[in-house]
Amino acid sequence: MARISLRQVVVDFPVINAASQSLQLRLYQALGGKLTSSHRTVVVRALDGLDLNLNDGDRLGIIGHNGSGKTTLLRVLAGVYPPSAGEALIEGSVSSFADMTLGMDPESTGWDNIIFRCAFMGLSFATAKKLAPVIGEFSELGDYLTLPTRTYSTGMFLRLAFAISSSIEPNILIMDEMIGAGDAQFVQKAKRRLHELIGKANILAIASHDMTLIRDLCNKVIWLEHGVIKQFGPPKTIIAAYRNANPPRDLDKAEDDGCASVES
Amino acid sequence: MQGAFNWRVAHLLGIQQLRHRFARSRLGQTWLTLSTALTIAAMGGVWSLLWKQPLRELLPFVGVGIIMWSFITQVLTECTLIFITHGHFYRNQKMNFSVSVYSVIYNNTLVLAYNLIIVVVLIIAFGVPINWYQLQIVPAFVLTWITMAWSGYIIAMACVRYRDIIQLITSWLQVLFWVTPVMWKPDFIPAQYHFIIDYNPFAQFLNLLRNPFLGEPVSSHTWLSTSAITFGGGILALLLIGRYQRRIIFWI
Repeated sequence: MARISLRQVVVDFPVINAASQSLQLRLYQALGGKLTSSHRTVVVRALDGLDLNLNDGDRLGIIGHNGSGKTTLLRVLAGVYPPSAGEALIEGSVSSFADMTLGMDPESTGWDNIIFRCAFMGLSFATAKKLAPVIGEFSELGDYLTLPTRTYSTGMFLRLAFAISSSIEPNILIMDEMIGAGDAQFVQKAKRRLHELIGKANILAIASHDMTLIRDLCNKVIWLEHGVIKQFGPPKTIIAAYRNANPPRDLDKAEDDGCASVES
Repeated sequence: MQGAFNWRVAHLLGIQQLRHRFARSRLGQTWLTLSTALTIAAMGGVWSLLWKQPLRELLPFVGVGIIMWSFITQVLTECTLIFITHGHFYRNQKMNFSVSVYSVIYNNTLVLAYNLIIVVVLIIAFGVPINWYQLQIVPAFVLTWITMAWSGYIIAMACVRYRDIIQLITSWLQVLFWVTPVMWKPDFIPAQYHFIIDYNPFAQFLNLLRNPFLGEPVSSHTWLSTSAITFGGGILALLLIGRYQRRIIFWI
């Protein structure tokens, strides 16, 4: 059982610069000093009054330009950002693929890192130890696992990170762009694993610029623009509307920040 | 407080720092003990000459004092930066902010454990009496850990919002070192100036941690003041934390 319910969610980012962060200024303010408007904290509204309800079986795709609030929304769903106003209710275990290497330590061996990463994902040390052989095998790193991970290539490190991160099955799966790790053969294997994981998750939320991917994976799509829902509905309609408003250009490719997609 | 359920992460972050510091060094963590021992020997030696005090009286006092002082101040100093250093964890995963504070306290308690070897050597070498007073170590540490937990959180929170406080705390702690009886005994100064000890929370916590190791009683003034700080301050801190913890992520 998993459920996500957002009601009129607002997320404001205070833009803290040297002026607003300085204690001196605050003291002046407290002592009755006058501040020019440029010294006041500027707030950027990243999400503005979002309503969203997701239940078991929902596969949410989030589309929109860079800076439209996709990542912020994902972080609200992951529980990282508490809403500045409104309510966010998230029921179920959440696993975010935003940073697959979270908790890993380059000075430690591959085996140790499996334990570390698992603990960060909330597993007990005993469960992590039980899972370790399976994870090690999936990573195909063999004897390298006994070496400190700083000796790994980027591709190897990501392969390990992926093997660990994808080894637990969350109720709610959150992804910023599709991830791929390693060489062509491993990418295929990772893809299969990921689709398995998505299949088992109660709820998926994925942000992507890849419309084909969104159409294949999702049953609901949110089109964000300047932090508000421009349109919400089934993939076909929304993607068509989005494409209409933003005719594909070659430049779009370059604009994509292509988050965690690293191939070696 | 919920961070306590996440003790595994606190433990990993805590030992990670030790591991990094001594990665690939031959003596490893023994360096901790060695460098503290050297400092104490040098300072204690010079100090006993300066104050013309017998080494056997001053060295255990100064030795345990330096170790406890650096335990306290190191925790507070590391807390100033901890939310900033651990920022990427919090941005990518839901985690209670207290985990970072616990990891700092844990890490420094481990460092302290290494330094306790020196305390034991001092106790044996200078014939410090072994008695029931040493049992005070247990409640003394409980009070200290609780105080560190809330004050560390408050410091970390204040520092991440107002970055000037980082510098403020670092320089204050240096000044406090001189007005706190770490290197000098309270009876070195005239009685009318004892208020700088009586009303100095750092001096009180230092008494609390030091006296039991030296086989001396902890005064009731110290017990009362440190307990008051621990619980009174703790309640105030919880109120502040409850009010502001939702904003921390946006300050990082």
